[in-house]
Amino acid sequence: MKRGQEEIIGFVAIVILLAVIFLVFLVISFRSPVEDIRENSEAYYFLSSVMEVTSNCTRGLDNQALKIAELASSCRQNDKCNNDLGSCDVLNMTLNYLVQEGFRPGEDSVTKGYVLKTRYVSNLSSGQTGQDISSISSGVCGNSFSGASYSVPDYPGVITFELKLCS
Amino acid sequence: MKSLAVDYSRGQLKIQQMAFVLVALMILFGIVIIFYVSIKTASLKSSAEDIGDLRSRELARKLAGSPEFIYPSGECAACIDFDKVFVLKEKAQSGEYSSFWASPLIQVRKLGYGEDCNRQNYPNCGVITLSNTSDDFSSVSSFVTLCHYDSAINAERCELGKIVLGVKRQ
Repeated sequence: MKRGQEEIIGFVAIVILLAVIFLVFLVISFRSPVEDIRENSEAYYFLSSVMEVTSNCTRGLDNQALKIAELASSCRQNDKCNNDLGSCDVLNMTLNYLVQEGFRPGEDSVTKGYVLKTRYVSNLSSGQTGQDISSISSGVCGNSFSGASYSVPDYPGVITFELKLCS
Repeated sequence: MKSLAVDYSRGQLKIQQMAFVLVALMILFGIVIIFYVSIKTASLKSSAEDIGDLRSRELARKLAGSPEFIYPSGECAACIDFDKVFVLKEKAQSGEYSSFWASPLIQVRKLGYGEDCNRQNYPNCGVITLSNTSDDFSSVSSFVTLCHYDSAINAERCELGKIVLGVKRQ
């Protein structure tokens, strides 16, 4: 092999190496995350406010209207409201109404859709157990979410509300 | 006769070739660095906007916890007493509290209702405006819970709402 040919091969090798490094950098920079969940303060404040909202489910002899946090606990135990409605039905209906009013998800909106999951987690000495209480969703969700979660105590565990807003 | 053409030696040519390669590498790395910095700067601006937004939202939330607004149940930090705010609005209209808040807009909105609150439609109404002194502001809002005593159920009723705060433009 001539000396000139060797130099050309070396030069081409350097260029290829640099091109590969550049491509790796580009891929890392622009790789779309599988699921980008950013903590959203608005979603957090929404959830914390929703916990105090009075529902249409009344229970007990004094017909006391349950708050959303209490209603979720009631739903976990499959209780019925005084007006014979299932507490889970009222929970789903109320949460759906509140998210619709709060974020107005839709095609033309900043929020294209949402997923709101309610889950009970108990961390007893016998081991951690989980139970899905409710799950509501609407609209179209891509890979990008922002959201928040909020937990309320429900002895012996906690009920966690997890809201994902799709943009 | 001696030729005027420059007679480069083989070593000089090699040095020249190396210099060109180095310059090309520097330019390439320069482009990559500029590209990277521009991406990082864009995300920095977005982060700054997010932080500003969060601070404004927390300010609105903090206002909800002030004695003029807070619902005295003792358990809820962001529950606004809707009855109290309605009375406050009437006082603001009569001149009291007119310069109490520095914000150009303070509004409490109940979600699901649209009309302004007055003595005829209260509490089945949606908007209570406490202060609206200027048009030159940008508004931020934060979710709150609006509570009032409901005689129909003989207990407190809490609904989802928003507190809207006007922030003067810089």
